[in-house]
Amino acid sequence: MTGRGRETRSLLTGWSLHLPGIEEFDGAPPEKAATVLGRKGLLYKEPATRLALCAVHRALGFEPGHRVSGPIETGTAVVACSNLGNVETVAKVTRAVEAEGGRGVSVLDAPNVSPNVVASTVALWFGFGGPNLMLCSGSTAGQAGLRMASLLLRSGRATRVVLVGAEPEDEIASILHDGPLRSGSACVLLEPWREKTGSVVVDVDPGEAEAPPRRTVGSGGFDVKERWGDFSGAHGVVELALAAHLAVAEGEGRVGIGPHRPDGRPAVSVAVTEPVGGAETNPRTGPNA
Amino acid sequence: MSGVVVTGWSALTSAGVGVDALAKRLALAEAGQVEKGHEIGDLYEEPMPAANGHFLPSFSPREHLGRKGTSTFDRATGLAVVCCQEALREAGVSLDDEVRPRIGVVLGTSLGSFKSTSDYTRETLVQDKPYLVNPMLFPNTVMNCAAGQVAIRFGLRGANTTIAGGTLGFLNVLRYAGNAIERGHVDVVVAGAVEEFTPHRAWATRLTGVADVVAAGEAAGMFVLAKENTPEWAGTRQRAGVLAVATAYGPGGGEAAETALAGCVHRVLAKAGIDAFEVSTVYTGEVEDGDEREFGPIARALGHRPDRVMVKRLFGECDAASGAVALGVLLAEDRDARPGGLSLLTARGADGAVGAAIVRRYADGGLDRG
Repeated sequence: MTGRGRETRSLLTGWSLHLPGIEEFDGAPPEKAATVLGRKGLLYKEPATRLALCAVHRALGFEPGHRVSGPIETGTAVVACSNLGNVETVAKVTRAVEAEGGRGVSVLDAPNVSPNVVASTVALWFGFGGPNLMLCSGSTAGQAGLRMASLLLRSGRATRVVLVGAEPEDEIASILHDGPLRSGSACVLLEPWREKTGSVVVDVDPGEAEAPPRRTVGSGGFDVKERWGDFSGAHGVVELALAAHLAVAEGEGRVGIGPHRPDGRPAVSVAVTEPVGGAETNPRTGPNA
Repeated sequence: MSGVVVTGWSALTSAGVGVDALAKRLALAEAGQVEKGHEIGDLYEEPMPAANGHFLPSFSPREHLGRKGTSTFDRATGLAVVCCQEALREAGVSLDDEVRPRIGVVLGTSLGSFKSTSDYTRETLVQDKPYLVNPMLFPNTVMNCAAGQVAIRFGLRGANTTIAGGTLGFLNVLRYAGNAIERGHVDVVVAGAVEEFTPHRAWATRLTGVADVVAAGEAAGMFVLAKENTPEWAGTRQRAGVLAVATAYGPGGGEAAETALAGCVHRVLAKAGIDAFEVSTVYTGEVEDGDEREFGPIARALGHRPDRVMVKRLFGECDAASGAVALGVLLAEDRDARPGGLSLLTARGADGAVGAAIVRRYADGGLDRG
């Protein structure tokens, strides 16, 4: 692998798709998040935050109800992607101020008015003490999140990045989104790339030396938006986790994520690295498999 | 980024409100002087780590902005909003509903208002029930409060970003703002940084041992940034050009950070297409002559030792806002008044974060295109 490879490749050590109502990737809806996370601490947590916590919980491979204990992981960063996670609360609080003045606002709602509540709650819940970023940059937030994650790993700011996307489905969010939304979340765990065959890697801008992917997620392949619905800010992370699932659990080996570049290659791909010298490998299986 | 221009600016420092106060303070300063700051007196009830600090005496946002909408402002928000008002006025930006969506706000900070966050948390513990805290003060506890209030006050509806970059804050802001303009997200960015002087920051500065020589300070600096062929509504003068910005990270903060800082200097020179010997002044975050943690790697990267200006000597440790104060000093001083004077603004954080920006100051406040 060349120096350029090191810059564009990261190791994918875990993933999850937590998509309520979608067969095969079904997960608890926000109001039943306690079945995944355990009961304590969920009061006043918004749907997007609950979904994000569920996706991270599953990507880490935890049993239902398992709670993290032990020291803070200072090397683990959180990059969360969500556009409309807290707009319902913002609207609710604004209406309360208008109708009853400041005293009409519940103090427990207050933290949820800040959009970065998704990223910070994930960090507090699981004890991730590294950099904490929230991206609310529209439908491409997931792609931006992957870019941020790889920068954090390359620069040595973090030794592991939890990239999570979550989006709710509520009236206010749908109005702002100008169309129906699908609620769901996904998570991928990324680490700096190290040469080891049989591991799962994410290549951003895969070089020409790489074999073209057998399957594609996105336009011309498995179109998430068409098949399942619009996950808005979580879309990019859902695609990434789905590509990992197809590459490993369904044995595709290499899966591209659209849109395609002019030369027909995907902008991002997820692949199981080929064994050197024909040794047999046993690709690890994702938690959703 | 290919560079942006500064069409106007303002700064609130311990010297007072606005460009003139800063320029006057600089004119009176003796070379190498380390200022003690103002006597704190009864500014705060809480015990303070030192008798002096670099704050704005008797600063009241209400005096500059009026009563309406300012009652819940914390100190950092007040400083930022007043500074933005001064900067827009100084640049001569004509605000109307057509241009407001094309103006963004990018603000650097370390923690937002540490006092607001800490007081609010304290309230939840000392009151009978957590429900008795005042929800109207909650917005002050989020870091993006100041940038949000700036946008609300002046109706600036473009990208609104708060960057918590510590020492690197202002350089991160310049980089982010340059990218936002370059990519067409906005035409103009009011870019700056703010830190407030409170017991919380004074103690944090003392206890983290960042500055033994200078006391904690507060400041806000805001700069109206636009493309070189900026529309006329964004201000008609070009005070300076921010030619290139680079940031990097040297894990651990030791030698790796020095290499990263030298790398930043090489990158900004290459991006701006200029020769190292054209750089005449470097504005660093150090305070003592013998301390060359920042200046050393820079001088080695440049291949010569330009003049070093240490703005914290006069204005105290303003953390994220120190970089903004440095750009203010660069613009207000007579030092590089000759046309084409090139300066470097640099920063080095304890964790290994480093950055550099290269700035060309235009003579006599730049071309008047009005």
